[in-house]
Amino acid sequence: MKNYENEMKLEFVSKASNESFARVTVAAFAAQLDPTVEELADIKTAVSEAVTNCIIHGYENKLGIVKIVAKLKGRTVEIEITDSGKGIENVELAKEPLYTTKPNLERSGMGFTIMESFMDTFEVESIIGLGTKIKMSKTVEGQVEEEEQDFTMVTR
Amino acid sequence: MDLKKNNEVGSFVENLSNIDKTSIFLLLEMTGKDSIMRKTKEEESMETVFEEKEKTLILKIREEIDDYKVQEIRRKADYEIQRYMPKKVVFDFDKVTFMDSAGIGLIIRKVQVHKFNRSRGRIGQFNKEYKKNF
Repeated sequence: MKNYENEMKLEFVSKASNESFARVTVAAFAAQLDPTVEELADIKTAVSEAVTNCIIHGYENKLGIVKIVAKLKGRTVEIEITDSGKGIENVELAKEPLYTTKPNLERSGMGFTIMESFMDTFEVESIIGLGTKIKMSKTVEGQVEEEEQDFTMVTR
Repeated sequence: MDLKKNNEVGSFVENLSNIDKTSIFLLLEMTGKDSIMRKTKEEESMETVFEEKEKTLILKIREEIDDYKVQEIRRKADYEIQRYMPKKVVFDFDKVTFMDSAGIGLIIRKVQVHKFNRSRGRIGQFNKEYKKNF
C-alpha cells in the first residue's frame, strides 16, 4: 500500500453547476506541488471531462453522487472520479475520438481523448448498472527555479 | 489604533498571516470568476461586435466554457447570428478562462451550421493555456 503524503475526498450532487467547483477544488489541492500554469490547466481540464461524463453519461442528468479522491505522493497527483450510474457498455469504443452516445446533445466525443492526452496515466473501470471509475495521474515538474546568481558588490 | 487589541479584528489579522498557498489559489480562483465580478456591460459573458462593411460578426467569449456554460453561450451565439445574419462569424476566445471539450463541441456545431448556411466561420485568438485543447 502506497504511503500518500496528502489525500482529500469530495462528494457532490451530479449537477452541471458543480463542474467548476470540482475542478477548482482538485486544482487547489494539486497546487501544493507548485505546478506550472499549464500543468494545472491540464489537471483542471481532465477533472472537468471526467465529472461531466459522470453527469451526462453516468447519471444522464438525473441526480446522483459524484465522488472524487485525490492523493499526492512525491511530485505525482493521483485522481479517482467515480459515479454509481449506468456504466459504459463498450469502454474501447467510448475512448475513440469523436465518438459519443449523445450526438443530440452536440457533444464533441473528445472527453476520454483529452483525459488520456493531458494526464500521464489513465484507466477506466466500468460495470453496467453499477457505475464507472476513472483513475488518472499526473507527475508535476513544477516551476523551474532560477539559478542563484553570485553578486559581487564593487565599491569605490 | 492597535488592531490586535481589537479581539475580532486582531484574530482576523492573525489568521490572515497563516493563509497557505492552497487557500490563496482557491480564493483567487473563486473571486476571479467572471460570474461574480462582472458588473458592467463590457464584462458580460459574451461581447458582440458586428462589422457592417464586411458583414462580419465577432463573438468575444469572456468566461469559462464547460458543459454547464456552453448551453448559454450557444443560445446567445445563435441569437446573435440570427439577428445579424452575417457572412462571416469570428469566435474570439482570448478572454476565455477555461475550456474543455464542451468548447470543442460548440465550435464543431457552429462550423456545421455555417456550412449549411453557406456562411464562413473563423476561430479567432484564444488563451494560450487552453490552446492545447484545439
